[in-house]
Amino acid sequence: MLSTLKQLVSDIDGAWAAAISGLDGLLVESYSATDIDLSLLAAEHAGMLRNASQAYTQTLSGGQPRELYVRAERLSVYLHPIGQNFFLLLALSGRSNLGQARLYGRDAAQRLETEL
Amino acid sequence: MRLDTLRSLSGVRACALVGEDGLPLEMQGELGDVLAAELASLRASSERVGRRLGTGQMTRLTFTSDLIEVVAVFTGSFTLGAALLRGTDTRSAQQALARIAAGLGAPGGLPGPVLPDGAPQGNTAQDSPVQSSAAAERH
Repeated sequence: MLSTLKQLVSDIDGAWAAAISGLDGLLVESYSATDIDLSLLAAEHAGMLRNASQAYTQTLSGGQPRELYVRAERLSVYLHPIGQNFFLLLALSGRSNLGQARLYGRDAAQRLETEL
Repeated sequence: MRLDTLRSLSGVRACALVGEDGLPLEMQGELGDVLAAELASLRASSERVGRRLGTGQMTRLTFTSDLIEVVAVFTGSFTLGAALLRGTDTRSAQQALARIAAGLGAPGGLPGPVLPDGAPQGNTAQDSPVQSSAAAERH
């Protein structure tokens, strides 16, 4: 799993961290090109993904979210669910390639689902 | 659709119009989204090379592999490209790309890039009308 995360950060233009987290917010595995602690990132985004899942499945009848992207002034994050209980998190800089993040993230999530 | 003329050309396997973020505005073909993402990446790399070498503004990118040839042109902050079967005469595709790119550079063609504070810069062609004819000449 760690090698997959390292490869994602290496291959995606502008990516600086990748992590696998449970929907409970606990980190399973992580890799960062900086010394920033990813625990808080994972915990906050687990909450976002849980809320999005509840909104889409129960209120909006839109089905399970397949991906979530948040772009802020100093931080952007792409999320992709892995199975029912986990998700892949990619932390991106301002000039990142979201197209790569989506495609590589989707492929990685499919591979990782067999390992979790 | 802007890319319809490309899709109809012989040998074209995929084509895409993509922004700097790698997300396609339009795409055709099974691997259109992959082509879009990688073209954005290649453009960023080629522009870095151009800066380091002092070559001036990059306008076109082509490469050939065992199976495909890729041709792409840069217009404003967008990249327009096509992947063709190896051995296909790429001249028609390159001409089509140039025509589409010139149209994109005209007023109302494409939005301008978004500034770092999130505000849109505006249509680059409206800001500089001479770019549309200059763009056609460059491509």
